Amino acid sequence: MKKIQEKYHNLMENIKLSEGETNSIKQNILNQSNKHYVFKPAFASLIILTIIFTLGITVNALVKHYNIKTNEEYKKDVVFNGVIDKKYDSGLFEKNKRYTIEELEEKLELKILRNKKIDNDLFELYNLSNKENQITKMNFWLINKENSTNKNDKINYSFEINTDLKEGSRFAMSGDSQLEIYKIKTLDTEAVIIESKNETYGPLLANFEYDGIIYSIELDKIDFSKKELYNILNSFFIEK
Amino acid sequence: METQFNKIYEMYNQDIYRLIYSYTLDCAESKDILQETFLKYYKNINKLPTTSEDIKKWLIKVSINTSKDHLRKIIKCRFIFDNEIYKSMDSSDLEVIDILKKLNKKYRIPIFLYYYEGYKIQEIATLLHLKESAVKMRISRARKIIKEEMELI
Repeated sequence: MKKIQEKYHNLMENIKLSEGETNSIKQNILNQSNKHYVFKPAFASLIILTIIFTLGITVNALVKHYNIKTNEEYKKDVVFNGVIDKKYDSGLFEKNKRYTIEELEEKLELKILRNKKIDNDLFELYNLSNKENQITKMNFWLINKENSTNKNDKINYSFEINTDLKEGSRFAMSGDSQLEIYKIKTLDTEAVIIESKNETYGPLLANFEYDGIIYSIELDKIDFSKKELYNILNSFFIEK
Repeated sequence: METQFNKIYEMYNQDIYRLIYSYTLDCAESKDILQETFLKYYKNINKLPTTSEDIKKWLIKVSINTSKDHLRKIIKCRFIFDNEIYKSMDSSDLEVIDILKKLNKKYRIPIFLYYYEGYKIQEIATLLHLKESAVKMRISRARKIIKEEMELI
């Protein structure tokens, strides 16, 4: 292990930007930041509105589709026990393959929620568990458009399907995160929001269950405000 | 504001670039992520911690999140090397890169922070929003994989 540590250290020492690259990146940052600086007063107003809006939200801890447990380290875990009462053959899906939402609905014989803020509909299966030739757990995430200037393409959207109760979905809270329950009016269900206590950066996660499927929205506070998260949550709908 | 930015950029751009590279193993992608990370720093400069060590921790967190965000978009890491860097690497470096490629991405950052940056397990846990036991497990599993791969070479 010592040999590899040394080799790893040597490799990392060789990974460096040239002086030209360092200066060019710095110049790009300064050019871009000056462009954005004009909008700062409007951005500040948005933050103030977000704080006012956030304070107005009533926290209502009704346990429905999830349990909030205190783990051995006296921190909280949020556990979703959503399960789909169907059997899927292990060969039905292929890990790392991409599927359109329509293909998924047809294969799964389930309705998957749509979202007005997200206009792309291609998902990749990034996690697949089988037991006795039957699928027990599947995780799909949305393929975001490359090189997009649309902020909504920064939304990390995924969903999980479990066919075995043992395969619950656990979201562990770290010491510097806090929890909020938010009612999604359009779906009449509750989302559990876990967010970094830091005001300017860190994860902003929302998880909820609808018809046995566990949906997750993962944002970074540096890109999205809490109000924007609420808007994304309220943009979920059921395609008729 | 620009003076403060220049100071921090000069102090940490290479460290943060290395951290991003350790995760993406892609020079071109790493430069884009580095630029995005420091742009976020510039835009939030007045709201952030003032000590340089805390700023470094902030940059580490933001660069990790930005890297994940980027890689989710492109999904497959392309492992394209910048020609200049590729040429300057010897067979030992390429051997390590081959091993790192086989390492799941979730192991790469803890390994970098522990073995290169010298952070303690507790500090890594705080930076990555993980439990200490999870960090220990990731480092231990990564070591096992690296050891196995080394034996094959």
